[in-house]
Amino acid sequence: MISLAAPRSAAPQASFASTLDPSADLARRAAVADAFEAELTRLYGKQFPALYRYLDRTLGDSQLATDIAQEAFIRLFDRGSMPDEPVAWLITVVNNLVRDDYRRTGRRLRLLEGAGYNVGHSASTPDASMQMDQQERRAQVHAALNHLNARDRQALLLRHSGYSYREVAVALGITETSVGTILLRAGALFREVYEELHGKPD
Amino acid sequence: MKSYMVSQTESRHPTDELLLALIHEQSFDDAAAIREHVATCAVCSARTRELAANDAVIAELLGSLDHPLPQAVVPYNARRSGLLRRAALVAGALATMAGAAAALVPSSPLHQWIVARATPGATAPQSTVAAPGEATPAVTTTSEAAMASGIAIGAPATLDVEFRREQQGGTIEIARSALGDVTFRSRGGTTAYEVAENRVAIDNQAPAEVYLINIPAAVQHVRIHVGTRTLIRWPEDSARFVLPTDPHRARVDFH
Repeated sequence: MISLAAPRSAAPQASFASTLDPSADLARRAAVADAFEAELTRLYGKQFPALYRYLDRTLGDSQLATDIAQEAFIRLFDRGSMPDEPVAWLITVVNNLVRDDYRRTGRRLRLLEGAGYNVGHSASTPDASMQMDQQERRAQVHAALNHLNARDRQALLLRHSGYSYREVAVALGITETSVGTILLRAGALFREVYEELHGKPD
Repeated sequence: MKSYMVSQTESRHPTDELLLALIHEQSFDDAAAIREHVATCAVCSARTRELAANDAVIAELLGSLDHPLPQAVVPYNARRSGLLRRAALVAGALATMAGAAAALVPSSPLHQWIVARATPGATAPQSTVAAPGEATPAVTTTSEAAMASGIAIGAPATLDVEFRREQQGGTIEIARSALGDVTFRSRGGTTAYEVAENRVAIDNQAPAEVYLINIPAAVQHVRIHVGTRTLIRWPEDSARFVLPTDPHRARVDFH
């Protein structure tokens, strides 16, 4: 399992030499910090889209997905050093944040986008009708996903968000060889339930 | 990637897991051998196609859940100071909020950070949000740029809505829904919200044209106050304000 209890600032231990020359220690720390931030930049550019996609599909709420994905990177920034498995670390963080969010969903205050003024109104334009269709499809897919247990659902969504078997395995704390088995089972159940509830997809 | 190859004594053909891995993963131990086998084995070739087709259907269904990627992913300037880099990380979140502040988990570090760092005068207005029941008031500012933006909260059993100021014009539209959150939206003006347990205060400092409040059935009693007077009690006064065409909607004028 990945530990999330790492110190928020993982400054390297001062060496014997640095105790003699504080400016050398500062320079070394600055270099380490620069290297970390360069790595964080690279990771952010590469991993944000997949992390967002996974969260968006899990939550069905793009703004919350954005927020949680951003928060995971900020926690990584605050951590001050790269974990051994950064991708898995990020997934574990967002899974924990999602779980916490579900716990307090009833208490959650959200801000609403400006576009949705027609709250409570029925759709009357082609665009609105298309949006309704899309929302209905999303609800159907979520309903089918909800029949899967949490681990199978996470594995299926992670894999289809672009994560490798290895990343899925490390993030979920399972063996790499069991990922295929879980994906087969989860995929079959998901499709079976979807078709049972809503018929064959178009 | 680790090997998935089962013992050849168990079966002449690779398992479904292996065939699926062949579809999903570029390379892993034994991938070349399995690929070679599939290329020459009609049974495995057909099974691989079947698995791939099923996988494509699943991918398409899951893809229907997608919302566009926020534009914010890019603005990261490596030359900025550490603190400003954090600003860049969240800048996209702000950019996607259509003029309203980020839809954040209340009191989250990100949210607090955005609150602290939101640039004065920027198109995204500043906001302060606290979880209901916490001491810090939750305030969101909407502007013309954020027309009809607002907030949503979990449904309490009873709800008091307080408009802080009297206003000369404008209406409150109330919609009762079966499910969902309590939502508040406004059109025009400048509105700030303050949220506490069972109570939402609306600081209508620049009056909005319309305030739209959606109240799910889980909320059994609602009182709407303007200043010191009580404008409407729901369900007690609802008959006076309900639209003749729709018993689930009501319209109340401020005067």
